[in-house]
Amino acid sequence: MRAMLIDDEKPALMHLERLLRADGRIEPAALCMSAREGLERLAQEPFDAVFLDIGMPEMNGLEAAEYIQQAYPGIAILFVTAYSEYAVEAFELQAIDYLLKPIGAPRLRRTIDRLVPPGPETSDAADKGEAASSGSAAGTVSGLSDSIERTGGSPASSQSAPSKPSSNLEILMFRRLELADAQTGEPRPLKWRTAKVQELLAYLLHPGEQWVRRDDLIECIWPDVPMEKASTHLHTSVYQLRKMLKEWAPQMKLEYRQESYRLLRGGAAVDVERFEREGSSLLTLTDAPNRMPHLKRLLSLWRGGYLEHHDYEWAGARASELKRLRVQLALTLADWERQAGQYEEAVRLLSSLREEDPFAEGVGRLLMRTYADAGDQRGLRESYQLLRERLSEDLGVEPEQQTQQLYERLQHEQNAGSGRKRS
Amino acid sequence: MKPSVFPGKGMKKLRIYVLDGDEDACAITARMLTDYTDFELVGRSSDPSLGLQEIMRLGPDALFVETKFGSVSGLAFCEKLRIDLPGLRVVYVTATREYAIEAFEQQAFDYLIKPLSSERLARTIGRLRHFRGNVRF
Repeated sequence: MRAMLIDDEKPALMHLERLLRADGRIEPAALCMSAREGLERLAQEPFDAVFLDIGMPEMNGLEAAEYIQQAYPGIAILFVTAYSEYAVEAFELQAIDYLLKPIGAPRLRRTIDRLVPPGPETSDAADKGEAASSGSAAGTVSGLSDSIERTGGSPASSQSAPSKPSSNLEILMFRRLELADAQTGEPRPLKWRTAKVQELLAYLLHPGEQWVRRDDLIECIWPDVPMEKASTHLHTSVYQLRKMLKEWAPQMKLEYRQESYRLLRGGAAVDVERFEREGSSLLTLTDAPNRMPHLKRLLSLWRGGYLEHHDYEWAGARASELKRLRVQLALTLADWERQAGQYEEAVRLLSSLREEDPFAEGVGRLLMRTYADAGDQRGLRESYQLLRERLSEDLGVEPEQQTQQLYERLQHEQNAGSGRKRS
Repeated sequence: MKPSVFPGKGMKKLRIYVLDGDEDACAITARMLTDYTDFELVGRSSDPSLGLQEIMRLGPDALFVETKFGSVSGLAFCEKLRIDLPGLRVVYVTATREYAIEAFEQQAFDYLIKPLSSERLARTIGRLRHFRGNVRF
């Protein structure tokens, strides 16, 4: 049985080689100092087993295993590592064993026992009627390429799965990242293994269905972690994300090609993208029919700033963009309401905008206009004074000239108007 | 009769037992396994001592088992079981990642994290089918 040993540390490689030679059942036929080197050798000659280190620069052992498992499903994968935390992933990668460094000869012997099954003379094997199949070691490990197809074609099978992910999926990115039912808007009760898994999903959704370079991912999500460790983190997170998606959003696919990742949504809509798309078209087509209910619906998508809850640094620029767009849309709606004589609605909307940003003079001006149109002199006066106080107390500035002039004009019109009314 | 003998591709059903101290979890796993028509759920229990008796009596091919039943360690439980049933394939189904290394030490067949996804279970099942004749690999 021929084995390949991959480890970026020479002493570790030599230690394992020595142990294998001492046992004699497995030939350490190739010693590689990187996963890349190992993959190149694998493409050239056949091996039965690969002993893989996990923590390695560039491509780590988990990534390499995933690749090997796909490309050469018959090869037995054994992890040899100082990390203890990836054993669950190792099971998922169908590894045959997971050895913690430093490896001792007795432990390795047990590994080899599993890899090189006892010959036909062993009574246990004969008992089980499998002697013929365990004759060659390569033959026995070749079974690793199992099919996951279900037999029997039971039509009811999918109904008893624990989760019933529907294809009506909506991705919510306002305030916090959530996957929701498109019909009810009800968020699915996702359990994120780590905050980084969630950030990874957010980051992959951020640019649309575009390829994202692996290095950019690492730089943004694990900026302060050494490269080697960061790439292990990335791999683990990708793994966990794929697992989550399979369960909760099976139409979404996370692809990897040429050092880049891409997330295909399988048709699931993203609230933020809809907001951007329909929002900007509403701003240009201001005379569209049903524009008011449409705009109201659109504004109701806003559950808070873009990924605001998570405070991701890379999301900041788009968050500001979206905030601007939202204020612009809300002002547009308030102005339509004012023109339609729906003063209360307009005041309510503008007051809530003012609460979020008390210095926004655009909001203040429209509020004054609305009060003036409604003939509410007190509201007009108070809204101007409030804006003025906030600006002078908190920022130490006067309202813009435009605001002052507007106030004076509205004030004047009101006095004239009410004078007329009184007379 | 030796229940563990599957010569060649004889279409004898693979026999599974489910043991989980949490009755609901036990039922969920058992229900998910019923999706596979070439597998037979021979029994299930949420009581380890009752389970032990049944497993010894039935001699299943595979055992889906928690890593803990109250204060009883599922790994210790299986370690003992392996002496009597050396061909038994142990698949841990658990909420904790804690015992995965030990599971490897024990040559467990697989280690699944709760909540169990049907996708992941399908892979375990596929491998069980594949290795039905062999001790493990």
